[in-house]
Amino acid sequence: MNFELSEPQQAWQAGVRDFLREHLNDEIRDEVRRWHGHGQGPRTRDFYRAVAERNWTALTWPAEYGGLARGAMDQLILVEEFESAGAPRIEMTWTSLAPLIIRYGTEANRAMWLEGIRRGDILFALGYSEPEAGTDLAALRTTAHREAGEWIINGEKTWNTGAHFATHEWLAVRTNPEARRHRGISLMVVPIDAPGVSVHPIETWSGVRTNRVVFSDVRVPAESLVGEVDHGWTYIAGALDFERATIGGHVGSLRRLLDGLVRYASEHSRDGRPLSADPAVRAGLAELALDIELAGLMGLEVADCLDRGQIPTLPGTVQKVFTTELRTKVGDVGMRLLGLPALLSEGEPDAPLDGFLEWTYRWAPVQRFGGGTNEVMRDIIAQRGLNLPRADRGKSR
Amino acid sequence: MDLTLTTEQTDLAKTIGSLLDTRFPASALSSPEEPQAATRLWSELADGGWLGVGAPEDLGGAGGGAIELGIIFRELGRTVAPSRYRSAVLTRLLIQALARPDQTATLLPELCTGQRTSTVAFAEVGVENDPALLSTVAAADGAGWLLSGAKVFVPDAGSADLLIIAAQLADTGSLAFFAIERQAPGLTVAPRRTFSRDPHFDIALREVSVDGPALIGDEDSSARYLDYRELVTALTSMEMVGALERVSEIMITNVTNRSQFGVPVGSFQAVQHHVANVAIALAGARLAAWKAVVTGRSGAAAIAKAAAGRALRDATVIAHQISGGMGYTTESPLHRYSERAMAQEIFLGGWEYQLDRLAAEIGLPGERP
Repeated sequence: MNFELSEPQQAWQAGVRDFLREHLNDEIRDEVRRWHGHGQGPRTRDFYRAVAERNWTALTWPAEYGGLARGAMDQLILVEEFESAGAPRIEMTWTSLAPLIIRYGTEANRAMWLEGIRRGDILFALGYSEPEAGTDLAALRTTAHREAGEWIINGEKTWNTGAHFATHEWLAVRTNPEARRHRGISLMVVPIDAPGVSVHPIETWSGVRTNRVVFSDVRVPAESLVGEVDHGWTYIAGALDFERATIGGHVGSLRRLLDGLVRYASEHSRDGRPLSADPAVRAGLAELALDIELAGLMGLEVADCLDRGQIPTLPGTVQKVFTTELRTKVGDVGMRLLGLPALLSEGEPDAPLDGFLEWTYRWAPVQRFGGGTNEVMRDIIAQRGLNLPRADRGKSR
Repeated sequence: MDLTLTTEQTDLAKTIGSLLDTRFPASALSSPEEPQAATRLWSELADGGWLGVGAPEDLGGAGGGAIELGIIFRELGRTVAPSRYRSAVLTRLLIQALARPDQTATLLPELCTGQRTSTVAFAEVGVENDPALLSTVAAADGAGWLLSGAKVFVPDAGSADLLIIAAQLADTGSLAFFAIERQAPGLTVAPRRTFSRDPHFDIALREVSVDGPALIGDEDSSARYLDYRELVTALTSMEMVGALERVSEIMITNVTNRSQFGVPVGSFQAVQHHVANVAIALAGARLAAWKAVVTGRSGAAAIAKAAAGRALRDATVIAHQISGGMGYTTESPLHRYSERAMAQEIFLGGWEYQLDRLAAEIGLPGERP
């Protein structure tokens, strides 16, 4: 047992830091802040081109698909360094959906999308949720039926963040209306500009735009089906076991917040006393530091598990719940400790942490209920992790 | 980076775990058999060489390092094992941290076999953590020393042959440790009844005279003592993690076996969420404790102690809640975990103390030196 990065891991971390020193600047950070990593301004696109040139879009993919064949720990290092530095985010298309294509897709699937993803030309928006199918994803109703060499898709998806700038929708659809609910689901990739796809904006509290996407008789070629028909649920569930920990967001941005809070407390006073000497501030920030360390360790455990070939269902779910709830706590405790200036909006002069803190307060809720609500995550921990008897969730078919 | 134990280490955990479970079973806790079980356990640990883990083999030890000690302390926590073994090992580790080679050569072999036992006396009324505030004084007296003062919460002093006393040197004010026979003239030991039932004692020293070599190591041991304290903090955190694991198992068993409204209590979502919260806190506390044990860093120890303390006190409270009457009888071991949890939370500084240390660590200087 040891908690130090190995020499190759240290070298990798140093390489990522060098890259960020060379390619990341305040203008990009400012653009990220304005877009909150959910859009791609021109500077962000340039930055992503440099990322793709290094093949970091394909970090964990096998070499035969143009990847660097690196492990989960290296990916964690990359994501953490990017987040800590305030860089544009590492896209889920690269880290999660492309590996799913590699693991479960057909040769035709791989030929169609992988190279484009690696070069940064293809970006998926996640089309899972529907108005009546959220955490209970298997209740989804969007259908695809086969006609000659094509699939015809009809239905409505919601919370498709990024659909207004992504190139494709990564869709979960019902391909077999007769099968029991989990069994009749397939995955499909649909170009956003295909006839019959319409994207409608939904504005949210955080300012991050998301979308409702409607599919009316959208026709895609048969090869757009990912892997085998009606196997979609297995693919989704398999990927979730691997990626749940990444949904919760990583710890890099929390470290960035803590650093900002400590710096602010060291440089500002209230009621005649430096914030850093106020016992409540010291205890509050120390507690955040403690929890952020725990979240970081949980992330390491997930990566360590993956690199040993294990499926981190329990540690991944634990980290999702802990880290997302910690984000709420950092926003809450941070704002209360800073006092009145914490209320200054993002973009206001003198806003503490450039408004990242108040934005975090508004951003945190979606982390807790997104990617499977934390209540259902707790059910999973209790039932799949600790073997407690299954709760009756109702008979929805 | 490797967050796993080796096969040998896993085997070690199984061996000591099953020894503790069979010689000191949960059924003996708070029963008339408990004192005999504790005595039997002690002899078996001594005979098995377990007192020497973490001590060099050429001095009678069993070898092994911080990880092996961490494994053992975790198992001690799982079984709420009697504190005597813990006191013996922690005292020996203090001697290893401070003593000169000639002293370790004399003291270690007999401590590793259990031929003689020892404990550390540090706390005084009003002083729990800061060595600079101790008022027990050692004054030079010819080639030897005269010690006077009063110690509190000295664990297992009643069964110890040798007491390691923390004192300030009269002339320099520096921190030094003295090995004193419990039978020494002028030294009295009085038992106290405490919340956790662990044997604690008050010690009074009235001009107790010792010879020169009784001073362990240097005339200023403060830096080494503070390092040692971090090790003890890390090992205590491991012990708390072990307790947390067992408390979690006890509550899961209870809610699985008990039915209400025709279904197991553990099938209710509200109950499952309590159990999941314990699992989440445990996952963090376990990683933090291992990191503290493996790296030996002071910040890591503060984090480990705070995380384990918070997780364990929440877990014991919720275990009582969801176990109901089944967990409240003295037949259930749960009360012993709750008692030990509070004692260990306080020992070496609790939540607020550790956060205060951590605040300094992240760049918020406080009033503490």
